Amino acid sequence: MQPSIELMSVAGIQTEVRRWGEGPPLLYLHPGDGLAKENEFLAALARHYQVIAPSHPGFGNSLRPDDFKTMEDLAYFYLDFMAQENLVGVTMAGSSFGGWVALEIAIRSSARLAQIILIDTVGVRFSERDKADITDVYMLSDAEIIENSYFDVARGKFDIANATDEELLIVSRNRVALCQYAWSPYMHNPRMKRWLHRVDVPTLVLWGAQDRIVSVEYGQRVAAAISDANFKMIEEAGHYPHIEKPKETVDAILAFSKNAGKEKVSRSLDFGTLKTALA
Amino acid sequence: MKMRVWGFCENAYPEAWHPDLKSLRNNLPSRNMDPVKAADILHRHLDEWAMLDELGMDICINEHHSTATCLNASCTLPLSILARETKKARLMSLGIHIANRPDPIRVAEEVALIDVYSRGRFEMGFVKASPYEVFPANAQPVGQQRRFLEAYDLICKALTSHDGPFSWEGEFFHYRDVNVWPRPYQQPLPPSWFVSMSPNGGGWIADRNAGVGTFLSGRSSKLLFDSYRRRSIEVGRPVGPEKLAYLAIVAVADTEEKAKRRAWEILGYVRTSPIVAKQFVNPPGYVSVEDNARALRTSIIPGYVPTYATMMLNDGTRIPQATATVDQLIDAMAVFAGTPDQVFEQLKAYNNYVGGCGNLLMMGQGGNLNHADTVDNYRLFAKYVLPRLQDLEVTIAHDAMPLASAK
Repeated sequence: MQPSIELMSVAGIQTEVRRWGEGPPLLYLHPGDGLAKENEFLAALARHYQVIAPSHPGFGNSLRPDDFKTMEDLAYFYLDFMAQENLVGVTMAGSSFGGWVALEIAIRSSARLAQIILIDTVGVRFSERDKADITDVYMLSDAEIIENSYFDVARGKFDIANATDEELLIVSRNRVALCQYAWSPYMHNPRMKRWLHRVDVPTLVLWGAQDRIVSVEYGQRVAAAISDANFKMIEEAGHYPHIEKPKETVDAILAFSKNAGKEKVSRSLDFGTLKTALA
Repeated sequence: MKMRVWGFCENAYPEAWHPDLKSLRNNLPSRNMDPVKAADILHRHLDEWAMLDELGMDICINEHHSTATCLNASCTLPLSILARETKKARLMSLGIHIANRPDPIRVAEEVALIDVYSRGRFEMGFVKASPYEVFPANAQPVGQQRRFLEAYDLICKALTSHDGPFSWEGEFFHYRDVNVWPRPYQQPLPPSWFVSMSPNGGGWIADRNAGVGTFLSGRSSKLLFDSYRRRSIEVGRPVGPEKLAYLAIVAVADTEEKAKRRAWEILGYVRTSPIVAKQFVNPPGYVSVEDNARALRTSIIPGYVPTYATMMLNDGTRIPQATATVDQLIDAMAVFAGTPDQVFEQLKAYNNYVGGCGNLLMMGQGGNLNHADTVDNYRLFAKYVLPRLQDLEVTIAHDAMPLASAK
């Protein structure tokens, strides 16, 4: 299944949005590499959801104005996006950097959210000041980044020789955008832990068992810090389990959604009212 | 045309240059350095710089961070020592990494202080710095040029405002009480210098009426100087050669052979400077997205050397700088080496080629060149070459600059 791709204006910013399938809305927030390798995962989700996957401003073909620089900008951008699309009862799924974006959105407002899926997220800090929670990719060579990110290193290889000029431009743009948002403090918001109690919708924390960018222990601490969170490990996967093990990841999301069903009914009733009010 | 000559060296720590090292910067543990030996090196270079004052030369100091190629982690610290130790030499920082320093007002205070210590002999050079410098500085590489220019504007305003505090609410810097004491000795402020390594990089520097310096660029320095001169005419401030500076390796000796051996030692700098782990060479945003995409494309070509790492010979061919011979680098105008007569002729040819450059930043020490050879190099230069650069006739000037102004 291939997505439709459109360029639209959100908060005055040219935004590239991919859409697959029909059903309840699932907003996918891509990792720092951009939307690159998750087609199989998103296509599988699209059998159950209306999958909406924007490129964050600065990534892909979404533009980033010079004064759009922080995670706060990204959070308000996505709150605007959900309002503009009139989305309610949203399943918000974020991978790595996209998980951090999801947390920044959720601590500001979860009014449009039904549940959150965090896949090997970053964004929070737990350890003492002289110990890094998150492997600093800026201190590593490209080969080392791939070794740390993938269980199956072959899946992480980027084939420059066969990439189009447009793909190389997008890789270059993504790298600048990620650095703008995440260079320092590196890949986290020092104040995030202070506000995680505001994440008040059912949350599934998924983790690649062999992730060497952020450890399984880090993932367990994220789950413990959110009031209604489940933690699930995906075996034989690194930092991107949805890319390395798309079927297992989708199954975990569907099982979680079903189990969270009871609560969801009452919430979706609320959202029905809200949607009418907003329309 | 008068050519000022500024002695320059990097204060390297060659003992740590193990041939199997993949990176001499950023991630080389400081365990590889003995602080007692470092003290000897730093004092030795201070002595050599102080000698330049007696020889009628000026002094230029740079800085690098977290590296065995340059122990000067601050150019203002040794310059402040020399402000007291020297009497006549002009003192140039080239330069202070103002885009990487979190507090430009602290920089303004330091440069004003050196200017007052030296009673008006300071020239303030600012550089965007090499790409790998953002890592030890923890400076955001994206938008670095905008931060550089804002820091410069703020420093200039801080040095020229004398009627009480002003506030600054910029994109990058925020202050409520800018009121620098002491104010600079030179009025309205010390001369400014920037560096560009790009053939078209002169425009924004001319716009700010700062001098332009370039390092080991050989023939492409002409293109940079042309772009600078063109823009300075466009903005109605045509400049002479006194606003141009060229850093080159200079080795003088009583025989050509000995001089070339000295040049080869100094070139240890060129051979080691690029030894940096790959992840530090091109931080995001340092080059344009388009240039980065092109660099990705060429990164998989075996043995590919990017244009910026090559030098153009007289016959138009390009050679990789890091593996070039002394003779090739003399041909490429990155090295001036030989007997005093030969070096004078080489400098004359360079000036004719670029249309007159009023400042030579003479890298008279580098790599393993020892103290005795360094002293001899500078002394011979000062005695036999420097006097002939006081009234140098430039016979070819670029059309953007009237020949008369080059005299």
